[in-house]
Amino acid sequence: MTDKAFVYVVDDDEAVRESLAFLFETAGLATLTFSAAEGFLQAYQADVPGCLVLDVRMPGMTGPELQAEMARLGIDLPIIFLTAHGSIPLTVKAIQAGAVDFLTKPVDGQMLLERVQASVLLSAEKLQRGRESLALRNRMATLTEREREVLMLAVEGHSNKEIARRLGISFRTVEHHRSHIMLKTGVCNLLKLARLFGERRE
Amino acid sequence: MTRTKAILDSALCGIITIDQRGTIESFNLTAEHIFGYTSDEVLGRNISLLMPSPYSEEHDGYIAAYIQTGQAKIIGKGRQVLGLRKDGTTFPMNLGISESRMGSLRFFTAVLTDITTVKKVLADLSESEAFAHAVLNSMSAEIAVLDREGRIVAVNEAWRRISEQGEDDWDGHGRNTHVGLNYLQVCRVSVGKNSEGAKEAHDGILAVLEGRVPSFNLEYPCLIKGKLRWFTMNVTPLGGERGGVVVSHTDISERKWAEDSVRESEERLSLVLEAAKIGTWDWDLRTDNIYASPRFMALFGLPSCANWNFEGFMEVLYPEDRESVSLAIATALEGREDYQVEMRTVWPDGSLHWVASRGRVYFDAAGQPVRMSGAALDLTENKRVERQLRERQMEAENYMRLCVANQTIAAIAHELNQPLNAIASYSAGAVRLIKAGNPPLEKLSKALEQNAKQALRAGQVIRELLDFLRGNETTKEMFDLNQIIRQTVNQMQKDGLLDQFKTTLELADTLPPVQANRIQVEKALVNLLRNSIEAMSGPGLENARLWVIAGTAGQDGFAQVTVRDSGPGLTEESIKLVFDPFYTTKPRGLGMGLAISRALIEAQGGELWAEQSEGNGAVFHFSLPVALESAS
Repeated sequence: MTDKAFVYVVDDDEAVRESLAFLFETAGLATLTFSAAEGFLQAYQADVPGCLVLDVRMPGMTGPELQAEMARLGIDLPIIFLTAHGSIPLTVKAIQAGAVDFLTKPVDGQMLLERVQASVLLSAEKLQRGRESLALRNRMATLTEREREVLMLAVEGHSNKEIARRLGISFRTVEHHRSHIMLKTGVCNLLKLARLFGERRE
Repeated sequence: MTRTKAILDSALCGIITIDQRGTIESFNLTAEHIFGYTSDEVLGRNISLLMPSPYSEEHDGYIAAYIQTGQAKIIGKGRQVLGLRKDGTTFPMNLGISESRMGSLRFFTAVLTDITTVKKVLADLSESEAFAHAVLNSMSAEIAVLDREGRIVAVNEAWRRISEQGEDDWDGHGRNTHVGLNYLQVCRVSVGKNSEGAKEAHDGILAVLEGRVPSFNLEYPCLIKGKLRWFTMNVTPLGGERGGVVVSHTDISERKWAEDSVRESEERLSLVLEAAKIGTWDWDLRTDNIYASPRFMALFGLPSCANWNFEGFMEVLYPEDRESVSLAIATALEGREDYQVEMRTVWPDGSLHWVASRGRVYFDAAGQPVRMSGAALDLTENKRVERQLRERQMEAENYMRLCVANQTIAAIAHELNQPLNAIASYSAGAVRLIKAGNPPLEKLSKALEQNAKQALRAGQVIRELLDFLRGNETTKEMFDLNQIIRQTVNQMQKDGLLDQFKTTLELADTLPPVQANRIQVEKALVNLLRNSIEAMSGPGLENARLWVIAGTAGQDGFAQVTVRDSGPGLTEESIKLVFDPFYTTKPRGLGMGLAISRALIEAQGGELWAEQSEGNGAVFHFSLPVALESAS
C-alpha cells in the first residue's frame, strides 16, 4: 500500500460527511470532504491514489452527473455510490458507467471501510502501472527505427536468424541491436519486454 | 133504381148528364161522393151549381154557343177544370164530355174524376225529385246513375262539370261522360290508355250490376294538372224494379296526402327510432296491455310479444331494480313527475344490460291515468364506457397517489437514512478505535455525541411525518354526523363509485352532534368506503352491498359509525395487519388508507377498529366524541 492516499467524500449532508471522515480516519485514510461536486473537482489530485465516496442526490450536480463529468475529464478514480434511497435502474446505470459499488444508506461502517480500502489499493495499483507504462514509453522513444523493427519481430517470437533474413542484415547486427534495446529500455530479457510491450499495445 | 143507374153508380168516375139547357138529369153515386150532394139535391137544377165562379155564370153561354155554332171546346177532348163542392170548396178534376141525341133532344154526359190526390201525389213527386236532385247536386262527389246496361241515366252537377271540362283521356271519373253514354263502354275503351283502374272499374261495376257483389270500391290515382290526386269510386246498387247502380267518385287527395304524410312521418320516426335503437312502449292502464315495439323487447333480450303486461315487464327486470321502477311508475301515475328510470335486466343468455326509459302518463277528463307511454334506450354500452372511464380515472388517481407516495416515501427514507448512516459510520469508527486499543477518548466521545444527535434528528423526522399525516392544524367543530355521512355517500354516488352496490344508510335520528374536524372525519369515511368498494370489486356485482350505520350503540359519550360490506371480509390474520402502513392485499394499493384513517380518527379523540367477520364482509367501526354541550 502506498503511503499517501486520499478518500474524497462528496455528500450534501454534513453529518454523513463528518461521520464518514471519522470512520475512514480511524483506518489512517486521509479524508477530504465536500458538500458539492465542484469542490471535489477543484481539489482532486490525479497523481495521488484514492477513492470517491459519492452521494447520489445532491443539490447542484448530482452523483451520476459528477461521474459523467469525471469520465469526460479522464479522471480515473474508483467511485463508491452511497444513496439514501436506492433504485435498481439507477444502480445499474452507475455500475455500467464504471462505479465500483452502489450502496444504500445506512451502510455498515466496517464494510464500507473495507470497500474503500480495496478501492484505494486498486487506485494505487492503477496509478503505479500507469507510471511504469509511462516510463517504458519514454524509454521506447529513444530506440532507433531499426531497433524498433528488430524489437517488433523479436516480440512476435522470431529468432535472430529469421530477423536477420527478414531485415536483410547480418546475424551479428541483429544481436547488436538487441543488446542496445535491452540497454535502452532497462529490461533484462525479451520475455519481460514482450509483456511490457503487450501492455503498451493494449 | 133503374138498371142504368145501378151501372152508373158502380162506375169509379162521377157521371152526370144534363140536357141542352144545362139541367142535371142524372147524378151517380161517385158524383155524390165527389161533390158532397145527394142526387135528390141536384137533380133538376142547373149544372152551374157544381162550378166555381166565373164558370158557373158562363156555363149556359157555353152550351148555347155550342148548339148554335157546333164548335166544341171540351166535348170529345177532355180537360182539367175546377169543381165546386157543396161545402163551397173547389177541387181539380178531369172532365170529359160526350154528346148524345135522342131525336131532337140533345144530352150531354160528363165523366169526371177528382184528381186532388193525384195532383198532390204528382206535386209531391216532383218536389221530392227536385229535392233529390238538389241533394245530389249539392254533393261534391261526382255521382252518376247507370241503368241495367250501364248507360248513364242521370248525373249530378259535379259530374256534369267534370264531364264538360272533359279531356280526351279517361281518368276514371266522368270525363266526356254524359247522360246517354254507356259508362261500361267508356271504361272498356279506356283500358290500356294510361288509365289506371279502368279495368278494375269496369269489372267492379259489372259485378255490382249483375248482383255478384253487394258493392264495389276502388281507390285510384289520377294526374290532374300535373298533380297526382287520389279518388275513390263507389258503386252501389240502386235497388228497386229498375235496377242499375249509382257510381260516385270522390276526391280523397287531401285525406290521402294527410295519410301519406302521417305514414311518412311515422316511417321517418320509426327509421329514426330504429337508427337510434330506441324502443317505444305504450301501456293501456285500463286493460293492462303493453304495446312494446320490437326494439323495446330487444332491449330486454326478448322476441316481440303482442300480449305484454305490467307483470311481464316486472319479471324481466333485475330483481333489485323492481322496487325503484315500481316507485317511479307510481310517482308518474300520481302525476307528480314524468317517468324516468334506469334499470337493469338479465338477458336470457345471462348477460346483464342497462336500460334507460322515459315516459309520460295521460289522464282522462276526470284526472284518472289511462295511458302511459314512452321510449327506452340501451345504456349498457354507456355504462360500460362510463365505468371504464371511471376505472381509468381511479387508476390514474391511484397511480398519481402511488407516485406521490413513492416520492414521499423516498423523501422520508432520505431524511431518515442520513442520520442513520451517520450513526452507523460513527459507531463503526468508534468500535475500530476501541478494538485498536488505547482509544483516544476525545474522538470516542465526539462520535458518541454525534450519534445521540443523529438519533434525535431521526426522531424529529418521524414526528414531522406524523404531523404531516394528521394535518397539523385541526380545528374541531360541532356537527351532525348523519349529515356528513349522507353528503359523503351522495357525493360518491354522484361520482358513480357506488353504481354497482346497493348502499343502505341506517342513521339514527337521535344521533347527537359530534365534536371533531369535519374534513378529517369525511376523509376517514371516504377511505373506509373506498376500501370496501375496492374489496368488492373483485367478485363482480353479485349482490354487492354496502351499509353505513350510525348510532350511539358503543361507548357512552361517543357516536359510532359502522361501515360494512359484503366483500370477502377480514381473516384473523389480516385483522392484525390491516391498519399497518403499507399493508395491502390489493395489487395497486398503497396500504396507507386505513393507517391514515385510523390516525385521522384518533386525532379526533375517537377510535377506528375492524371486526373479525370472515366470509361475512368486512366491518369497520369508528367512534367520535359527542359534543360536550349536547352530551351533558
